Amino acid sequence: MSNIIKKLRLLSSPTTFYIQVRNSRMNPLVPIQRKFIVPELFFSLEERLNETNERVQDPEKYSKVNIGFSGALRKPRKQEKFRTIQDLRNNTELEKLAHQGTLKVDLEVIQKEWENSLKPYHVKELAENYEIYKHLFGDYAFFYPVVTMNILYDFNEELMSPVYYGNLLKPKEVKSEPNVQFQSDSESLWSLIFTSPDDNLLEKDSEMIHWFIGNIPGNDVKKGEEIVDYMQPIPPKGTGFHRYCFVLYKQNKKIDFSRYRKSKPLRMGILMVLSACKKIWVNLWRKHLSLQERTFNTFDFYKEFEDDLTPAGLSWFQADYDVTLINFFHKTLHILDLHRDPKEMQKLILLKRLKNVHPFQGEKPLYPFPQALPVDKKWPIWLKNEIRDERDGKGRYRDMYREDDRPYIHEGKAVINVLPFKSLK
Amino acid sequence: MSTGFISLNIEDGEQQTSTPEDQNYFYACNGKSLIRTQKTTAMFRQSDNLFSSFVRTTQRVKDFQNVIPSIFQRLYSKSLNNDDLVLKEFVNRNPRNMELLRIARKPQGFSLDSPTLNYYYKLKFEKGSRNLTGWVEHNLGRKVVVASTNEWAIRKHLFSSIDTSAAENLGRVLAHRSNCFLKSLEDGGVTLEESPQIREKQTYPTHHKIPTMPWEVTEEDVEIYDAISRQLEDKDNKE
Repeated sequence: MSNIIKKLRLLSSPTTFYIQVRNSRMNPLVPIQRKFIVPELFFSLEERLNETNERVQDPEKYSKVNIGFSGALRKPRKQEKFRTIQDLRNNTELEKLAHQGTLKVDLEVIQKEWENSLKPYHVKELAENYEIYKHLFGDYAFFYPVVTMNILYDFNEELMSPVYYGNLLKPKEVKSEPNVQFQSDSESLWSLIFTSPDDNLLEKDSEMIHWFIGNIPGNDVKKGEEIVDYMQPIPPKGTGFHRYCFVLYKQNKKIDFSRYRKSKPLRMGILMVLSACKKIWVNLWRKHLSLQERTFNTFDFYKEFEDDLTPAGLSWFQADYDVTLINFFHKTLHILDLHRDPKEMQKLILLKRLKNVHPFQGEKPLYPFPQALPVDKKWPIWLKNEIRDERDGKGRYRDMYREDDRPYIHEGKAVINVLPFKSLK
Repeated sequence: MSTGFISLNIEDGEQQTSTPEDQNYFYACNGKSLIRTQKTTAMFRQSDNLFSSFVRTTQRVKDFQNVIPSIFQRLYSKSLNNDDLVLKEFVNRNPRNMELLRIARKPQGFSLDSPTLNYYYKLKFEKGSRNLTGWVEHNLGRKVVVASTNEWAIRKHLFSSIDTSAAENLGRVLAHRSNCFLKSLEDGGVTLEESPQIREKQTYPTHHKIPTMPWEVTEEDVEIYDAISRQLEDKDNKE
């Protein structure tokens, strides 16, 4: 093991190692590859001491910087506090309710007051929990989200799905653009960016931008310049939950974002003419929906416009895979799957099973050594393996047999679970 | 042999495809993965002779790739655009992903301590001499959601900051805040239980009972299951 591990760089991402293991039972000459991920923990003593010394000598280098507005707590003065508490104590009705246990505080009033006072601090802590500042702005930056955004997606005519701070949503709820509201003066300019640090499948440590509106005058998000069109989130199957962040920046002046502009599709009127030439339409539509053009790095973006932008608002949600994404991938993005739909495969296997099972006589008894019959030599290996799996009830053919009435499965590999031999009834 | 390799399927030559675009593709099985190929046979005719000789010898798919990659790659269909490209190993950087999927490890080495750390998040409550605080804590020590009678927004509406009504209202405020922070689809409220961690060995294919994983169940399946169970209950009630 020590011979194989090389010396790692400081602050590098985790690397994967491949180890060859000899399996002495079955095939001693064929090595089995086992892979595992090693975190960046193998630093030498010198490197570690250097880092600690640097932190002691130059603490400003490693301290975090507030790149946004100061979350100034508007505290009441001590005298006011004292008076109000005295009034509360002298209030006999309140006392009665408290003793009876029927005092019910108005939650909405409290929330409004909390939004003005302590919310930025709490939200900042939460965002650090989700490592949003780390992945968007780097290790040494943060900001207090002083401006609260009310973001609502229209799910139905009746229902809306809101975006708070890490709530779970599905892609079918998030297909179209949301309704964004926040408080501001009519003169100030804002810009809204909707990114996901986890959605980029091609590049490491970079994000995918789903929506970008710049130079928003005051409150109206619709009057701002749409620099990148809205594209729904695309968390693929098996990766779990991805984060999707809305970041609001306040601008000092009008900024030219033309570098980040994506080409838009043509309008509907011209579409009708070109509907005959389907290819042209597909290529144009695809240009604005190309995923590779949508790689984004807020660190570089913020560096460019550092003097004119300050981040003021933040909210995010998490999204999982949904069945509606299949159509989106196939038809709009033109990305096809390499494998068939697993539900299709299960259907085919069910049909196979139903051919062998009699509705009135029940299932046939199983023979104990299904692999004893030879497989035709002329078939290729992959097909032979399929036939063998079918006979054993392994892998996708597991549903050919019921739970306990299945043929004996023997695996000569690194033994983890070996089933006992099952005899016929 | 070469054409037979490409066009053989599990069933007798028939394909049951889902989308109309799939009709332009063959699906052939490769042991572990399906190869999707276009129906134009021109590219196969070029490699006809070479490939047939390969298939008759016993080699695995990976050896093909190492020995003659160019011919092997022609078997895969041309992708429609460059967005098919994907990293070999995709790492989801979301730190809360593993907890949501119930795969993350709960610290289990503290069984001799009391209280143990065998949880993802825990509800905690502190009764001080002047104030009450309630918070949701991660096993590493981070406080996720906090509410206390310390805060002026809450203290303004309470008679005293230490009595039972204060505790009651604190609980309501904390539930409201944690709902806004972590509004999940499963429960509208905040539950006091945590589901157990999913272990690796349960997921092995040789295990005699493979439990269903939470991310494999879709909402539609749940709706169908609920509808069927309701019908069965109605039948039982009628009888």
